[in-house]
Amino acid sequence: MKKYISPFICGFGAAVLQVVPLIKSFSCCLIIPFAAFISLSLDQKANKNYSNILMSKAFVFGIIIGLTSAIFSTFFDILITAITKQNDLITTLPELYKMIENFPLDQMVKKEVITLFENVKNDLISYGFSWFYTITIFLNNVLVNTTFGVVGSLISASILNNRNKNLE
Amino acid sequence: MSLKFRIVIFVLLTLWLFGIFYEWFIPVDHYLSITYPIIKRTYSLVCHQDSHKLIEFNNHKTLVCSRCTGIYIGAFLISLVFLFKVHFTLPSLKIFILVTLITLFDVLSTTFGLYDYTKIIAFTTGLFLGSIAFLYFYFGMKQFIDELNKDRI
Repeated sequence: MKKYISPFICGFGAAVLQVVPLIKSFSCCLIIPFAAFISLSLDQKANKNYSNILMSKAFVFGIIIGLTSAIFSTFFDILITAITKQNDLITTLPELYKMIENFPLDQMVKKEVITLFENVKNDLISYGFSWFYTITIFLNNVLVNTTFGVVGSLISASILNNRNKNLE
Repeated sequence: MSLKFRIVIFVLLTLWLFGIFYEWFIPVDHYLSITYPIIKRTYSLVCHQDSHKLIEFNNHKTLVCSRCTGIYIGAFLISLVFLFKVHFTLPSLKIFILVTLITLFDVLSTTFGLYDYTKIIAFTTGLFLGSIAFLYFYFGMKQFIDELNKDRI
């Protein structure tokens, strides 16, 4: 377990950064890959082992970073929503409705989509919690963060191996 | 890397790219709009989605900014090349660092108002970064598959 401490810490760090709006707009999709790079570098420094990183190890690091950040960012999102009874979804819903209204769809389908999101919005405003919202963001976070974690880890391991080769 | 894996990577990138242009396809199939809010939320995890930075066509916008669109199109184009080309040399780390610094310079300059944000520059810097990053990813993936095959033997 101790050998995976750095991806856990970096995954947690990434989850914290993912809920800070200014940092999010600045770093775009690079938070998780950057966390992967930092975790692999930290692992090398902690073990004082600068030999080639095995890609299977990088892959596991990526999975851990992705899952850790997904769990914590979902938790932070739910916590903030429960306290403030306000979140991104609620603020962007009017814009979304306007957009859906402009789509050339059946009135019934439009009504169904809007009703679904109205129910979620009402749950969030009334109770600060919605099962549909929670499950959706958790699945989203797991899928996206794990993919970006693995891709970022493999890129980072290639960079670090390349750097170490140049240093030799 | 075998053709099977290269096709898998190419198909996954194509699906990801389809999601980016999801809104553009809604006039083709109106029922895509039912899942539109969820798809938009998924892409909001990887991009700020500032409306003035999105690429617009026929009143429909991409779900990620110009720079991110460039990154993914760059990766997609290189994955397309690798469907036909097997051997390649990994570009030097200096090139990767240079492209990253140019992208970072553009991000910082537009953020702090040194010059105005232009979609073309953002897209181009993203395109180069995505292409180089994909080469490093491809190299890592190839090594990963080799390691798995070695373990099996």
